[in-house]
Amino acid sequence: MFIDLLIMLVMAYGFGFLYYGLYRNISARVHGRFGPSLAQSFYDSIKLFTKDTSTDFGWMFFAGPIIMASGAILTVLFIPYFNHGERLVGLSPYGNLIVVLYFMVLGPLGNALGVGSHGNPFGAMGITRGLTRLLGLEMPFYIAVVGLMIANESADIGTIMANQAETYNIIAHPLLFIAAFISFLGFLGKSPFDVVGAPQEVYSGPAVEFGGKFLALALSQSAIFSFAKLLLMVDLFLGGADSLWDLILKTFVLFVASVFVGNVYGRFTTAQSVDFLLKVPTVIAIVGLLFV
Amino acid sequence: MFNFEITALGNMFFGLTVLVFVSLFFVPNKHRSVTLYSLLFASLACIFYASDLITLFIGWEIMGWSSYFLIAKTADKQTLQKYIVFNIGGAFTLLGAIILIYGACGSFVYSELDFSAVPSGQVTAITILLLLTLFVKSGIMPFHYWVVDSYSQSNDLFSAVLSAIISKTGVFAFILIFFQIITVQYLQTPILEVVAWLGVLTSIIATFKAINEDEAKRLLAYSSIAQVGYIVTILSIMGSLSLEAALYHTVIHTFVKLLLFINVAAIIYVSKQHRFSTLGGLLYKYPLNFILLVVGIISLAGMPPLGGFSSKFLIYTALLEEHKGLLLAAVLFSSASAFLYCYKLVYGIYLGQPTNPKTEAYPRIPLRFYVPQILGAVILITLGTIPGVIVPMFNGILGSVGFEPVLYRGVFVLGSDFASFNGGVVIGAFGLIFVLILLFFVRLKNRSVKPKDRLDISYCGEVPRADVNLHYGYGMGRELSRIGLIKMILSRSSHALWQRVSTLFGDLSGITQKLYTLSAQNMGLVIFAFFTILLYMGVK
Amino acid sequence: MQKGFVAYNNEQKSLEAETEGIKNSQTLIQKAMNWFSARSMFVVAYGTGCGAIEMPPVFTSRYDIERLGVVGVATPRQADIMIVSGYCSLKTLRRVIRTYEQMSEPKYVIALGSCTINGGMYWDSYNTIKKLEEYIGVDMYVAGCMPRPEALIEGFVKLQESIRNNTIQPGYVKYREDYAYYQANQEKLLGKETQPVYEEDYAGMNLS
Repeated sequence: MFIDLLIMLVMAYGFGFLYYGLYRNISARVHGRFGPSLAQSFYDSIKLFTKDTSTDFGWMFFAGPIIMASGAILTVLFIPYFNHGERLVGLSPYGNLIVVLYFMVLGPLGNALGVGSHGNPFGAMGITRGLTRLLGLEMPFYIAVVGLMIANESADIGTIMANQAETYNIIAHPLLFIAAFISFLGFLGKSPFDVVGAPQEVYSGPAVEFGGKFLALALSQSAIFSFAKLLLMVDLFLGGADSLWDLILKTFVLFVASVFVGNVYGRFTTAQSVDFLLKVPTVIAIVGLLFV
Repeated sequence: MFNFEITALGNMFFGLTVLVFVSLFFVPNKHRSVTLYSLLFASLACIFYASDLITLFIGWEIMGWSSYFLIAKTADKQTLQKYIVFNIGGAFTLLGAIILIYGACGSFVYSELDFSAVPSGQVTAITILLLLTLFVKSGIMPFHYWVVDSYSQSNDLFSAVLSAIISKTGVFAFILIFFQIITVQYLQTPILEVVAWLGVLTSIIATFKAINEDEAKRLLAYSSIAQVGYIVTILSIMGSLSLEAALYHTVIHTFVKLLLFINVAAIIYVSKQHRFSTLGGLLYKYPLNFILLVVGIISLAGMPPLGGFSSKFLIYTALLEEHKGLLLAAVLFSSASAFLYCYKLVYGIYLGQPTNPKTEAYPRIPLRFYVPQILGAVILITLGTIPGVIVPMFNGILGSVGFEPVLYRGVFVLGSDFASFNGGVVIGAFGLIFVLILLFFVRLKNRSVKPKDRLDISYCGEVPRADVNLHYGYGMGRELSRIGLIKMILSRSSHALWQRVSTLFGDLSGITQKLYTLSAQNMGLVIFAFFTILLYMGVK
Repeated sequence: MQKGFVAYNNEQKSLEAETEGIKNSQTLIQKAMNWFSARSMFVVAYGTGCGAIEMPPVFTSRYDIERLGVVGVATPRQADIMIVSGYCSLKTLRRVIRTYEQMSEPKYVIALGSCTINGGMYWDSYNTIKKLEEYIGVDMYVAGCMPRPEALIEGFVKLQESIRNNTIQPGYVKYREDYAYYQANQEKLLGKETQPVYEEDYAGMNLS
């Protein structure tokens, strides 16, 4: 049990950083560059963890990134990795899809408290942008997930995966997948919806005062969290994974699709992104929901 | 004359009332009035334990009047007018419904009421009248017109009572009347459908209004409207699971609002400020208060480790089980937007930079303010860890109302056959991971540098001057008004509607007045009309 | 072989032997840490003067310094390296110092262009500083007016080498040890009134 949890965590960490490295590489190729080495994000994280000093604004600032990381790790542990339900299911028997959806916003709220506590207005601006954007992001994703839960008569991720043995949900409910994928792009912080941490406008937004180990923890949790989201999408729409290779293949395909979309688009403002998310993907999701 | 009966449902609501009143007894308050509070308490007992409709009505009236005098201590005239007009209207509709019920069934006593022989048109009329009463008390839009002003202008202690208990009397009456007396087979589903959507629309609109609010207590008032909106929505599903979800949410919301209103009251007590634009940066001055507020908002937002999640979870599963996808989507929309006002509440008061130069000189918060807060926090944390602990109570209520209980009787596990989760594992895993990361973090060979000054922030290489306003408290949520849909919601208000209703009544009374003025022409008209009616009745 | 060159060579050798000694005295963990911090550099690029125009090509497709693990960041808290690109007027210097103060250690400074070395073409200006190293610790100079992006990249590579091999005493250590000297210089120009609020009390710190 505990070994399983540890393996899940290490896999999420490793794959998260590997995929982040890939993201940087692929983006570089799109820009006509070579890009850094694949392990670059890993180097960054080690370097940040071993920096000599980091500014600490008090206990709430200290606790903020820790809550954020706990939320991300908890999300990973509650999502089963494989669809046969034997190994690497983690804590998923004790929770369900609704619990996972709420874990996904637990981290950002903890982070919001930490960021608010240092009193830098740029941080609070970034957080407000994030929470506002979240309002748009959650709508299509939640409707899609609700559609799946109603279609499968269950809120258990394992059951939803098991029911896809014949047809994947991406084929059975294509509209729900499209809606969920658009907000998934936003959840990953990919380009049309990356207004939260815009360095040019709000000075890195929420991460404005994070240096050293705090930034390291923030980066690590974001890597783990991205992998958790990929995993959730794979479990819900691509039928989960049979084996390790299957897992890698499916997450990779989904990831590359998101990277390509992210590299092509410019950045929406907060109002534009919420407006877009509430108009296009939400309507798609509602239409999809009516077909369920 | 008065008939009472001890029921499981009454016990639960009265238990909540007792806890709230006892804990509020400790809070210092300069508008303390033992008489009025005792009267209110008695009237609530009267409502919760009544066994006939007349007793219920008397309790309802006394509650309305004693609240009126309590609000009148601090509120202005307009607020009071709104309060009294709406609540008298609500009481009249209740009275009308009671008379109709007596006409139909020939009794006031709950156990003797039988609707099986009553024509459906009459049941519909009774239902609508009762719903109007409940909507007024619970503040369902558009009958929420009195709620926000009364909540925010009554004194800080009474706001908590209004939000925690009095808004729940509507919920109580809903459960009592529609689950126990007029049971579901006599009710028409279109009405319930409309009620469900009214509830959820209320919660969406109130949520956005709350985000746009600059005053802490008004924000909480809107949030209270939104939360009661969920309860009404979920109740109108009329299933076993939905009733349990509604009861769970009632318990959670009572303690959340008790905690939050007293928390804000404590801040208002020490700072004399009640707007986010003049508060801020109090985190390290009042850390305990901050932690309690965080417990409150995490429960309000329905985040996993605490009690709020349990009730939200039940609401979602109840809606999912009934395949109410669109309704659930709307609930989720409102619930997701609630994060914003939750964050605004905590940021505006505790985080950010202090806006007031006198912040350092604020006195300590009297310990007595912590009694209700700690009570609320302990209950919320308990219900997050062992969410199943109060399920037997709900199951008992369901049994007494005549529904089949569906929730598991586990201690750590909460849920039904549809879905369940283990609160102990959730909070345990969260705590363990948090502690492990904390230990790792503390063990790192890494020196933490403390900033010397609150202005030592990275501000584009600049040192902000002390008089620059760095608090983002009231700018928060302003971006929302640039989003088309939300702008539409925010720009509307029920003021215009009630203005029109008021003009209509003015015109009507003008006509009535004309009838009474003794001009020969009018008298002739009246006499003519009178004889016409007589003639018509005679022909019949 | 010329005599001067031999002398230079000997001096170089003795210097290298010295650094060799430092290198060997390091534990494996320290070496690894040095390697990682050389391999990953977050840069806050302070575009003070005309040198700012040479930095975008370095970071974008033409020269792509991300190959070497160098990434631009927005805030000093996240940064390891600050590039001061060109002359600093008094107004700019205040911000430069504050940015430098807010970076977390280990932190390095690359000074770009001749103006940061001796004033360059602003050698007799009333309003710009002449030597940047009098005010903050500088680790690497890239001379030229303006230095080409290749020169800046070479500066980065050299800095990475010296961090990896631990061959220099970093500027921030000097800054901490001789804080009185730097502070006096800063106060002479900026005055006491305009001092930024410092994060740390360097005087009371243990400088081991």
